[in-house]
Amino acid sequence: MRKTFKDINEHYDVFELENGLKLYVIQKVDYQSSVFYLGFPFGSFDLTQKVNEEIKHFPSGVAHFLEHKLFENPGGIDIMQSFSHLSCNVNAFTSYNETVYYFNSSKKSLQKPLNLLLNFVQNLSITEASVEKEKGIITQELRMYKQMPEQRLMAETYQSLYANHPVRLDIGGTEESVNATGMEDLMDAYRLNYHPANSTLVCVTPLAPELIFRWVKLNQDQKSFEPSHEIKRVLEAEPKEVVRPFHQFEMDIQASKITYSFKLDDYSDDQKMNIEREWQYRLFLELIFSPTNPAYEDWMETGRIAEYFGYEVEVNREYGFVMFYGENEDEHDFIDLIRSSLKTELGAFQQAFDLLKRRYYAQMLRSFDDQDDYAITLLRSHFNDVEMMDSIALLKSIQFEDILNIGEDLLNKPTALVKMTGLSKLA
Amino acid sequence: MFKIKQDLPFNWIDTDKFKDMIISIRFAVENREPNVSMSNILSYMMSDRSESYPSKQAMSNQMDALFGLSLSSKTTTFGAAHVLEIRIRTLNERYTDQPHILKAAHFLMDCIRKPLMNEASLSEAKKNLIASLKRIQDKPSHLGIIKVCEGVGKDTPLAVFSQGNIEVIESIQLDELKAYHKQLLEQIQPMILIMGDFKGLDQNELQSQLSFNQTLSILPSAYIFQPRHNFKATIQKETSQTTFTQLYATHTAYNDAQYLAMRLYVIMLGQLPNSLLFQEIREKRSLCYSISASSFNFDGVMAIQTGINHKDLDEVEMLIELQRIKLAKGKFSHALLKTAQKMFINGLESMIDEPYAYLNFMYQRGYTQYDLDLKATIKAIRNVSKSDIEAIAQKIELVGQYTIRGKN
Repeated sequence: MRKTFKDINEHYDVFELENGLKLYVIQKVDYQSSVFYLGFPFGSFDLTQKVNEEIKHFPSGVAHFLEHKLFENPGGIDIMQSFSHLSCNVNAFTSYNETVYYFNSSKKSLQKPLNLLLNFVQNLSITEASVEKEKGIITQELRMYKQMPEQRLMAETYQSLYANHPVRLDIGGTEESVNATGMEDLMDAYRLNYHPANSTLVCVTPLAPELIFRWVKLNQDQKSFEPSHEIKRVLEAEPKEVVRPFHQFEMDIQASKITYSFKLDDYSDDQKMNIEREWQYRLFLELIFSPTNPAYEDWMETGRIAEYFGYEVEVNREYGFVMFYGENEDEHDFIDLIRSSLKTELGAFQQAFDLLKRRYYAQMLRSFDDQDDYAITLLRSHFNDVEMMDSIALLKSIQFEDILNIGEDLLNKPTALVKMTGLSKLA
Repeated sequence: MFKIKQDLPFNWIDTDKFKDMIISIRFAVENREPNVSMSNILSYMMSDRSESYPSKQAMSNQMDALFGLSLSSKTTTFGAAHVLEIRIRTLNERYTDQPHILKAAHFLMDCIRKPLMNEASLSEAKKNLIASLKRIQDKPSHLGIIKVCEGVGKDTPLAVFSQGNIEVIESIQLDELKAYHKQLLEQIQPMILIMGDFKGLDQNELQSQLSFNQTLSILPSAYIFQPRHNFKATIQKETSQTTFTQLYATHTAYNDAQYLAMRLYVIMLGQLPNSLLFQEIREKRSLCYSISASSFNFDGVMAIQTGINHKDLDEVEMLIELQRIKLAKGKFSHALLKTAQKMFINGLESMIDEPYAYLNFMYQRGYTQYDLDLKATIKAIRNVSKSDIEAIAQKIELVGQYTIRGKN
C-alpha cells in the first residue's frame, strides 16, 4: 500500500509479511545512501509484562543488556565486522519504548547486509560467560553517562517526579540490576519480545520498494517461528503527587543547574489526543518562555535567566510533564519567574502564535530530508499506532483559543524542584 | 543531481533534493587569541540582535515571518586558521506561498553587518559564552582534550580552544570588539556557500546582496604540529570514571601524500567496531565502554580517549601502546585495512545526502584550494597499501597524556 503526501512531495510504501513483520519503504531516488531500521516495541519501561495470564518481571536495564548481547557472534562470526566488510555502519539503541538495530550504506548492493541484519537480530546466541563479560562494559557505560551533568540532572528530576513509573530508572538500569541480570532473563525477554510479528523494518533508500520487499520476504520465508504472544506492559499506578518537591545534590562541576517541573495528569489512552495536547503546551510555552515574549529579553538582561534556559514537554499514554531548566543559583527567583509568567495575558500574542505554527511546520518539513530522523519518526509513529502525518495535521488544527488556559492549568499541578550544585556549595 | 558552480568566493550548489535553502558565510582569521574569543563574541551577537531588529522578539518574529528561518552561527578551527560561520536555513520557495529568499538573504547580511553592539549586549554575550565554556569543561571527555592540547601545544594554534578563553573574553572591551568587527568586514572576504533550489530565483540579485567586495585571500590553515616537549598531567575529580586522553603527533599534513594513509591508520586503530583498540580493550577484556582514536587533520595530531576504572589505567596504557606497535610492525590483517578503506569511502559517498557535510566539503575544497575531487580521492584511498600504514605508524609519536582521575 502506498501513502502519498503530495503537498510536501513525500510518499512511502507499507507491506506486511506472513509472519507479521511490518515493512515501510521510503524511496528517495536522488539519495546515494540507504538506512535500514529494525525495531521492537520493547524498551526500558518494559520491566513487568503480562503474557497470556502470566506476569513476567525483568531486572531494570534488561532491554539495553539484550541489545548489547544481540551483537554476540554466533558461530564465531563478528557481526559488526561483517557489516563493515559490506561497507555498512551498524549500530543499535535502546530507548524507553523500543529497541532498534540499524545500518546505513552508500552502496546499492544491499541484500547481503539486509539479510545480515534480519539474521543476527532473529537469532540470539549467548552463553553464561559472555553475559558475565558484558557486565563490565555496561557498568562503564552507566558510569560514563552518570558523570555527564545534564543527563544526571534529568535523571534526578525524573526520580523526583515519579514514584513508580519506570521513567524514574536509567535506560541501562543500575550497576546492581545489571549485575543481577542472568542469561535466563535475557533469553526470556528475547523469546517474548523479538517475534517478527512484534517487529517493524523501516528503510529510506533510492532502491525500489518492491525489491526491498522481495528481499525481506525471501529471507523470512526460510525461517519458522513459534506462535507469537500478546504482550502487555504492566505498570503500577502512579500517584498524582511528586516524590520529592525539593531535592538538591552535588556534582564536581562549575556551573550549577536547576530544574522546576510540573507533573501532568491530562494525558490519554488516545495518542492523537496526546500529540495534540503536547502541541498545545509547546505553542504556549514557546510564546511565553522564548524571545517571542518581550519579557524574555528583560529576564536575560537582569540575569534571571541565561542562555542555558529552556523547557521540555512530554505527553504520552503513561505520563506527562513540563520541565523548565536553567543555571540560576536562586531557586526562589527561578520559581517566581516561572509561576508569574504562567499568568501572562496572552491577548497580544495572537500574531506570534500564527507565525510560530509556521515555524514548527517548516521544522517538520525539514525533518523529511534527514534519512535517520524520517525512519525513526515513522517507526515510532507505527509503534504508537498513529499516522506520521497526523502530527502536521494536528498542529495545523490548533487554534489560539485552545492554549489560553494552559498557564492557569499548569499552576494547579504538583511541582518538583531539583538543584545541582558544585561540590563546595552544598550546605 | 547537484549543479555546482565554484566561482570563489561564491559556491553555488543547485539542487531540489532538499526542502531547504542554506546560505553559509564564513570568515577566516588567524587562529590565535584574542581573535578567537572576539570571533566567538561576534558569533553570539550576530545571531542575537541587529540594529534593524534590536530586540530578541523582533528577531524572532522576523525569522518566523520568513517561513521559520533558522539563523545560527558557530566557530571552528582549521589548524592555523579560525573560522566564524553564520548561516541561515529556510524553506525553498516551492514550499512557500510567496517568494522570500531575497528577503532572507537581506536579513542575514543585516545580522552580519549591523549586529547590535552596545555595552549591554556585550555583557550578555560575555556572560553566556563564559557559562558555555564552563559547561564544556564540566564534561570530562571535553576537558581531557582541551587540557592535553593546551599542555602539548603551548604557544601554537593547537593550544587555542576554538570556543574562546574565559580570561580573554572577560577582558574584551566594546571599542576593541567594534574595531575587530570593522576589520572583519573591511579586510576579510568571506567564503559564501549557497545550496538549494534556484528555480525561479534571481541569482544575480542574490549574489549582489551577498557581496562583500573584498579580494579573497587564503590564510594558512593546515600545518604540521612540531612537538617541543612532552606533557603529562593528572587531576582528581569526583567523577564516576577515570578519563584517560593521549595525544600524538602524526607528522602528516593535510596536503601530504601520506595523508589518506594517516586517516586510514586512525580508522584501523580506533574508529571501527573491529578496530584494534575496540577489540582488544573493550571486546576482549571488558575494560571500557568507549575507546576511540580521532585525528585533528589540519594540525597533524591524533587523540586517543577512553573512560575506565583507575585501577586499570596501567593495563590500558600498555594495551594502547601494543596496538600501535602491531600497526607499526604490520601485524594486522589485510581485512582490517580493506574494511577501513570501505568505511572511509562510504563516509565520503554519503556526504551528498547531508547538506552541511557537503557544504563543509565544498568549503574545504575552496579554502584550502587542494584538489578534492571525490573520485580521485576514493581511488587514492583504495591504493593505500599495508606498507603505507606501517610507514605512518612508525612516525606517529606520543606527545601528551592527561588523566582525570575519578572515584573509580
